[in-house]
Amino acid sequence: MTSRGSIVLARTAESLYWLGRYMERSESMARILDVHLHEIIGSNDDNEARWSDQMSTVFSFERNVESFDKLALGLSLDETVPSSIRYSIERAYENAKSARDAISLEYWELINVAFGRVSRYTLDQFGHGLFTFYSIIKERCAQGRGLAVSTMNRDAAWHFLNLGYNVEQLDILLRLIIEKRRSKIPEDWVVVLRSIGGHEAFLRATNSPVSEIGSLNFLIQERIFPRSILATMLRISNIVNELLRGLDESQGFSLPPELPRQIARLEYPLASETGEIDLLLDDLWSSHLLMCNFYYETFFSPLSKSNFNYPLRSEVWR
Amino acid sequence: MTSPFDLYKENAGAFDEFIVNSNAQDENWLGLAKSIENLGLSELKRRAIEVEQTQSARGITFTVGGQERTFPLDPLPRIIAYDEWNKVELGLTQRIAALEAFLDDIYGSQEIVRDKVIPKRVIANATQFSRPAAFPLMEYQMRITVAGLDLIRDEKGELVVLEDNLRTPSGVSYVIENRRAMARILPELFENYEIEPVTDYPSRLLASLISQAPSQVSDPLVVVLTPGIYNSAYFEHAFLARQMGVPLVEPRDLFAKGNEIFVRTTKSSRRVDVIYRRIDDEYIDPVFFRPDSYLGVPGLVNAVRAGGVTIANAVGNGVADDKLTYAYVDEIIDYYLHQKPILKNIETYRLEDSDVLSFVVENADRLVIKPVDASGGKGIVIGSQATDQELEEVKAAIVANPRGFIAQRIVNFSTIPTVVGNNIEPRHADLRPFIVSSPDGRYVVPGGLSRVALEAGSMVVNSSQGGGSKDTWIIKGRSRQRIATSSQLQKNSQSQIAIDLAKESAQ
Amino acid sequence: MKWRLEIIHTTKYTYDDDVFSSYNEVRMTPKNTSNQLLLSSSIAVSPRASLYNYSDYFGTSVTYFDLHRRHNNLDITSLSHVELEDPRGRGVRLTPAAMIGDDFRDAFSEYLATTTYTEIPKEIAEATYDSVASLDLIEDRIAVVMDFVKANLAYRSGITKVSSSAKEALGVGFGVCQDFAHVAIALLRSIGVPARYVSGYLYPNTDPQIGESSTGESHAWVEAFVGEWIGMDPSNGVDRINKLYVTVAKGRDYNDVTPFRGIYFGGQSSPPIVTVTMTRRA
Repeated sequence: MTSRGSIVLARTAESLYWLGRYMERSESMARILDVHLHEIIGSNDDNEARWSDQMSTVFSFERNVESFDKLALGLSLDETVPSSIRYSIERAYENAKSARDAISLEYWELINVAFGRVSRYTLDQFGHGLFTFYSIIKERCAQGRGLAVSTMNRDAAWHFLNLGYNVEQLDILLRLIIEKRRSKIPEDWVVVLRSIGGHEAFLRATNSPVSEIGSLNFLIQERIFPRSILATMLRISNIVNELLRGLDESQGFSLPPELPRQIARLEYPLASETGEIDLLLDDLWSSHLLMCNFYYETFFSPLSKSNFNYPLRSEVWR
Repeated sequence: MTSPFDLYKENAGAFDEFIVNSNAQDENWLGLAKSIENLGLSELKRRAIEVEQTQSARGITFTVGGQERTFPLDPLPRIIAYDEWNKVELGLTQRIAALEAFLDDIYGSQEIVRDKVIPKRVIANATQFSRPAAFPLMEYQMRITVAGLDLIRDEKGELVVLEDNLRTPSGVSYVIENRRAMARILPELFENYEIEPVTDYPSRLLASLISQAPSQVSDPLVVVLTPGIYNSAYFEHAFLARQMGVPLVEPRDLFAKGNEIFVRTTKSSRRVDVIYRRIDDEYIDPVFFRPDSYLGVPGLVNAVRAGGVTIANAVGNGVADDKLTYAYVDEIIDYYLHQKPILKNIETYRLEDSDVLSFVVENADRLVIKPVDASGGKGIVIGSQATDQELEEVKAAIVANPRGFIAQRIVNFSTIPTVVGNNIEPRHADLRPFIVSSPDGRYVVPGGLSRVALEAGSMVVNSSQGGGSKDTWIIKGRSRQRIATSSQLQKNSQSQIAIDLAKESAQ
Repeated sequence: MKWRLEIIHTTKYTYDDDVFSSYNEVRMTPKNTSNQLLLSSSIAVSPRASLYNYSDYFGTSVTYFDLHRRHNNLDITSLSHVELEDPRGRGVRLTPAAMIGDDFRDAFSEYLATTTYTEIPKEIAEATYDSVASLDLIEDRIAVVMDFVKANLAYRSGITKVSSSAKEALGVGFGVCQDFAHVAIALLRSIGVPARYVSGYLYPNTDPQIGESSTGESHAWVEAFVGEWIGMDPSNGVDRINKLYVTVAKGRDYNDVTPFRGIYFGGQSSPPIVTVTMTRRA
């Protein structure tokens, strides 16, 4: 491969990273909201109130709404809510467009069409039919991921996209677990497992009924469950190593010790006491934020630290 | 079986390219009509819709007022005779060669002014005359790397020049995409005709850009510079970058340092040698043009001046496609090339003469009035179609600023059969050929973008104002596989085979 | 009689916060003209930068530099030596009639056209045109313009801005040398006299001794074409400039000669501290 082929603009890398994050966010949110909306049917008011609170926190929804329905609607289709699925899809589209020359035609087509469709949906149209909306989003996003996997070269562009997907997956899972732990309702863990598509996987892997500690074990360190924190961190570690290999050694960037440290820690059995697990989760969360910062410093910084973040001024003197 | 062409009638006054050619028994046009008859209009439309859906999914769009639109492709191609095209090609290269020399001269010693071929004020008072660009280029650099001229076919059937676009002309991506689409809509015809290919364009452009890299650079880095994803021609910018295999950059990806330009990558920065830019002069370098513009790359103009980077097209080309300059192109060709112009201009009124100005004011309803420095059809008033108020406004504007406008005769330009609803009807169309220049020579895309006004009788073909497009075929001959149906055809195809064989043996 | 002047022109910018990068053009090198010989010149910049020189469309010597390290001060020093004498014109004078011909107007179109800076109300332009129409000598016509400037504009700084046009200066009735020059240029052009903007330095001491330093000033004045270019200083009511005037740049208006122009990213700058020290050396 020629040296020219390996150029990835800092902006393109950042766009790919965010494209991955927004695609993953759209899919995860659709799944999480879908599961909760289903569970609410025939459930009691306490559950609805609690879940509303939890989802508001997990997805930074800052308005007061009277029902979970309304909350879900806002988080799904309201373009003025910066954490809504619709907003995510639009940002995914913009980032895809900006990185158009780095992604495959098939992947681009899918995002282009998905965007076109979502941007035509209205709040009223899905007021009572969010399930349909979620299944469209889930299907499209899963298709997109499949297309990206099957049609893109495993070059730096792919690694940045893939990094975005995995970072977002880790981000949402950590938020969800931490928030669910806060409300301390053991029954919620079935909902959590379902929300990340892991209920059946849990039953198959553990052969035991759902318990809080069992769920935490499974979600945090189950190697064979691809969405677990450990599995996700291992993938991130591989991607980052791959990307760092492409950098000039003179720049002196290396994998921050945080990541291998956390991974090593998760190789050992978790504490049986939930209080300690909470401490671990907080620690994982700060490592995650630190890593997010590291991606900027290392790969995107020629851009984010560049001039245009500072005011442009002109001097004319007479 | 009735042909959809049976009811076809030309517009009064305009030259209809189908009627004139089919009356003259032109095999290509007749063959096209026959194929459409065989296929049936509804099948043609079905295929066209299918193709449009694919195009839309792929994002082959342009943006108007924030809305993404596909550029409607009419499924009936336009055919231009090979011999006529050869002459047009010569005319285009002649014109660009002369305008290139003109730009070099006026940004240098201005001999053409000294020799009183063009009044000084035409240049000095042109809004697009760019004093920061008044420096000589290196011998390996071109000012007009890409030109897109607008031609129309006048009432007598002659292709004449309507406008020169020498800044950042767009549309070539649609030429290539339209050809790809037509191969799916009318595969039958592609088997029968030997159509001059348009797909060479990106590699020709890349070759030109590489040949203009600052000397001493063995593996130059070429980039395409776009204002960003919200630009109306972003699709084209991304398309060209992909087709050439070079990075698509936004201004914020670039920075100047010590008269060199660098691109920010994930691995620090890389020196850029050639920038194919699709940003207007005004926004290219805030040191010189708009100090409030975040779009620009500060220091770019001086990097170019110092020879650290090449930008295509060069800064300041707008003075050569100023519509008052247009009125002097015949003189420009004569002055620099000592040749007679091959392509004609449309008769143009220069309003600085007060007699001419009063004539134009009196006859505004029978003329087209155009701002001299705008592109994309902006600000043009077609007298015969304007409201009284529009006429009064434009009259006041030209009296206040005669240098700011020119007037032209309204040309009832040619019509071409176009699918409208369930019929085929005549619609006015222009033609934008693209010319790539490099220090080694010039390449003209065979054909170009035919833009068609979709409203009956309308002469506004701009995509931003609801125009559509047509694939434009320069047909060299019938292909060998074809089974000829008439003796005339047979003769043609045989002589074509003979030529091809002669070529092959010569190689 | 010739004399030699040394000019040290320093400009100091201080920023309230770091500046990350800046891109700048300096027009501070005196020209060679028929009465002015540039003996030596240099421009120094701090923080250090590599300087790139070129001659612009108007023949002005331009120094360009960019900075990419963090800084919160920027100093520019221009040092030059020039030999000057009073301009000795050839005394060529055109009649007003000779200046309305198409060839004349075309040849000087650049210095007859209105720019943003030199726009004035149509009524004033027309009134000035009418008031000179009966005068046969071009110099009498120019005198009317100079009188008009004197009567309608008073020197006061802090009222107009660097971006003010002739129209704005006339509107408030006050201005600095830049405004005087723009108003005079606008009026000269309105009566058909080609006019251009000159930037440079004015030596404040009419009888300097060798070795004596004075605080000079950056200044702007005007040249009009009357058969040859003649310089005049509307701010000081001087009809003909002399060897106290050091020419740096000429153009259509201020925009063509801006001594310092830059784009930068970072903190806000306070107004620059500018000093011009002029010393007679011979």
